[in-house]
Amino acid sequence: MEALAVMQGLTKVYGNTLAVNNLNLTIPRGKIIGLLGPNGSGKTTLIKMINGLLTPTAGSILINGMAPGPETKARIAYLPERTYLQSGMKVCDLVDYFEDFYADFDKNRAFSMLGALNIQPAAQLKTLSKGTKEKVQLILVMSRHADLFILDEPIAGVDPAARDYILNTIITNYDENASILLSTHLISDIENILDEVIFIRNGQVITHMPVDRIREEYGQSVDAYFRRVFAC
Amino acid sequence: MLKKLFKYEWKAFWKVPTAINVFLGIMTFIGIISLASPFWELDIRGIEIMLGLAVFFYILAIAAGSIGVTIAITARFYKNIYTDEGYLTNTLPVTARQIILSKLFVGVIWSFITGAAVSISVFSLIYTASLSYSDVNIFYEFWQDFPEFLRFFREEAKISFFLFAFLGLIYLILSTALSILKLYTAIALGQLFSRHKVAGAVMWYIGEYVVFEIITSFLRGIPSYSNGLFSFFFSYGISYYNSNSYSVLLSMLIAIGFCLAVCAGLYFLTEHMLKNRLNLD
Repeated sequence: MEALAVMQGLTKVYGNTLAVNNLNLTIPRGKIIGLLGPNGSGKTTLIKMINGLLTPTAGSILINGMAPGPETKARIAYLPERTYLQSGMKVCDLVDYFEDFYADFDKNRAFSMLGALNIQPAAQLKTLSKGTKEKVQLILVMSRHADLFILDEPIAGVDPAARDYILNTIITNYDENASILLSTHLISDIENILDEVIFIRNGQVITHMPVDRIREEYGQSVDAYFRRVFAC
Repeated sequence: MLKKLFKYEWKAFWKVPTAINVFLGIMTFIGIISLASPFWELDIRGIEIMLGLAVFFYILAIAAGSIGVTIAITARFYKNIYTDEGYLTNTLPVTARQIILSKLFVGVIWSFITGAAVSISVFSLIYTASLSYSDVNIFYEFWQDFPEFLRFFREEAKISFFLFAFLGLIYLILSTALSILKLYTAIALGQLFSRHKVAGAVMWYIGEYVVFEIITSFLRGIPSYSNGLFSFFFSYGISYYNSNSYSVLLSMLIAIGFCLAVCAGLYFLTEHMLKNRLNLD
């Protein structure tokens, strides 16, 4: 099956800082993949380049065979690590907004998840707590039938009780041909749902392998293996 | 998608300029009531100073209102594209062109509405003052002189008044779009700075201003582009119409052509920056 996303020689330089360094990576279909690395390793830079929010200094990115643009954005559901919604809008208006722009948005699924997390559709975003805003964003993103879900720190700001629901949502709400690229520092919370992990350091992929292989070959959990690889 | 972007842009933006225009309306209403009353004719010590202050604050308020709408248009573009909100705006399945045009349309419409509101406000106050403090009814006078006005355009300026008004309207739309595009381009170019991007945008805007001033000072030598259609028309058109019967029409077309060309240049520069040089922090 054709790869979902292919990155070749991808490089991003900020001034004198090399954030992503000649990175080569292939993201397959139908996998939940953890994008893991220490702070400043280039995870968010890579994610932003895939989403067209950063222009690469060199190299190429192809998603479904296309460079980042309106066509790829229609097929990627992206959750950034910050609040990107307009605070003056109501939750129900945001649902309408996503429905208007994304053909793959499932409005019923969004309202169902809002109900499960006790979020009032009539509530104005600016009246919600930071954690609830993050839940709203995650619900909007996960209510799409996208090919690639890119979630940057999806559970960092929410309470542990909501984390289980969110992780369950992630597992159950994606199609078998879709993939999820999940970046987080809370490895132990998510490692049970991961199929593969990508370790990134100094803007380069140092490991890309199935989670089962880490357990079989190294006899360690992903969390323990991560601590060993990135030990200070 | 452009229609949808326009719809959401309108919904997100209408409140600030509406509040400014409502404020202008209230101020105009108070001004009309005040001018229609005999208050300013009372023999009170210092009434001239009070009248001077009232006029000063009125001028200050309409200037602040116009500038306020321009600032709101600029802030909306910056916030919605280059701050946290940009993470959503720039990941929508739409083109950079659709994003810019939707914001530009809304900005031009609100600039126009505000410009019209300011014009109506000033005219209403002048009309009320003329009725209250003189025997001149400027509406009546204008209506009386209207045939002469039309004759001037037809016979001396060699252009139909309606064509003049139509071309003037096109010029006003383009010059409004131009003033907004200058701001958009400065913000987009400010993103080339790795730090202090807002300060960078201000520097680009000052740079644009200087370049425009230099260009327009050269262009004033030929009856074409100028700071404004009407100043240009009265400066050049009237003095040239005797020697060149098409000078008014030609001058207007040249002014529109220049404005259109500069708008296109600034637009494509902004689009290039958003499409090919986007780097969100």
